[in-house]
Amino acid sequence: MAPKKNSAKRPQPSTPKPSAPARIVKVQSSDGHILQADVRALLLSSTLAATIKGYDDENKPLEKLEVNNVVGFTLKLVLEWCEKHKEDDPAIAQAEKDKKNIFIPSWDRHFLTKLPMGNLFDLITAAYHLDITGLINYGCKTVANSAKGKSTEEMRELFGIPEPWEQPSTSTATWDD
Amino acid sequence: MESFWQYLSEIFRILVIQKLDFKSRCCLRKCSKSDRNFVDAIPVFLESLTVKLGFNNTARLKFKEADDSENPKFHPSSQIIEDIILIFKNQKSKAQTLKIEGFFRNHDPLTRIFLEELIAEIQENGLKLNTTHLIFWIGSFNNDEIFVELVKMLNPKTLEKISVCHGTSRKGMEILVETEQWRSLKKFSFGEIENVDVNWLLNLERIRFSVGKFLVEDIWILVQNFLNKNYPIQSYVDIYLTENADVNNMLMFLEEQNVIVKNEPISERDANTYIHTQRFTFPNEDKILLLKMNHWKIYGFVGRSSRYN
Repeated sequence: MAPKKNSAKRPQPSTPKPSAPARIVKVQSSDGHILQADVRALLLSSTLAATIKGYDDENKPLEKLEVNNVVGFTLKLVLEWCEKHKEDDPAIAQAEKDKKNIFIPSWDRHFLTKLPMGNLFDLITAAYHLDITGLINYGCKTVANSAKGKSTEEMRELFGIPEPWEQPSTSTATWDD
Repeated sequence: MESFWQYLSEIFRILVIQKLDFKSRCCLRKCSKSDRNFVDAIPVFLESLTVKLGFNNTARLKFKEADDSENPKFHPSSQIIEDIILIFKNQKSKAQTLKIEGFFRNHDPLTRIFLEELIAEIQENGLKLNTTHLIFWIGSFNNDEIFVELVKMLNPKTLEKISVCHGTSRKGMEILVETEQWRSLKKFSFGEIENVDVNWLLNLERIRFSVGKFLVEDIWILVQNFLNKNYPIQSYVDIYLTENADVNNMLMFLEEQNVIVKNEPISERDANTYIHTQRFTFPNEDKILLLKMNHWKIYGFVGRSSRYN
């Protein structure tokens, strides 16, 4: 079968590579939930990577990482995403950071679109706090995709924007009918 | 209704808006004042923006991002102009191609009125539109001054190419070539030009136009300009002649310039189409300028010499 068009530009799905045994640490959410994660998955977060490096540099045993600004439910989602992407090349996410059109792989599309909008926003906010570029990219693009083709009213409903507001100008009126 | 969107950090909202398509941006900016401010602060990048002029002072927009999107309805021109201003009001916004598409005959006043209103709005907002390529696709337009005013509204730092299909008067060209925009231009494709001065063309790497006569001395100046400026591969000059040209006269002139005149067509098809194909090599480069000529056309382009040996 001929390769799909532009497949070279698409990030390749994570494939297991032969690697060192997983190093598991505990991660505690702001509401006290304790979860477990592979350190390689946590390294996708620049914030957590810096903390882990600090422990390693000082040869201190890393027993538990505290994530003070993310609740347990959201942290579980973050860790699930990171686990799936722990083999990814971080350069791909960096390269996609400022791109408008990015391809969301099917696993991520399914993972992100099944979430209610409120949870998705929490997840992306957590990704922002933890500085996980790939998750921010896919999350923002998923939100943007969900708004595509919606009218102003539908968008207000989707995003929970309560403020009714009469725009004084007719600008952009031609794209709203 | 949960109002999570408005409680999200600014950076997150900006990241989402950056990834929104243009149509959705327009809808979002109407949701709330803060969303309008966010949307307006983030530049728009379009592959192309086309304004299609209609009757009764109306127009419609078509734009291209990842997919084509066209509004089938015509709207009052004032609204369309307001939308165009809105896109470019953020000085970082850019439409790679800006196309104004209109009537093909006898509707000068409609085009003129639209352009005058557009230019007035651009001036009032103190803008220069960022575009790489202006396409002015109006079959017949006799208001060269207004066209030049439109060109002046474009950012000379981004503008590289102008394509028009209507005829341009000598006077129109004279005022156009005086603009800052023309001086930074690299490519142009015009309809028929009345009486061309070759000096207008010396900053251009890609040239296409139609003219009655083009002097052999001027062809020689263009050839030398291409060679001296070491123009890149794919540069070309493509001149349609509406009056029969004397190819023998051209060849005699080239001989007088110490050119070894030799017909070396690059294909059988060319041999049948052109009377003469002359090769000019670039010193110390794997490049060649192939100049083909017949009674109605002069076509030269820069290619890789190893490909045509």
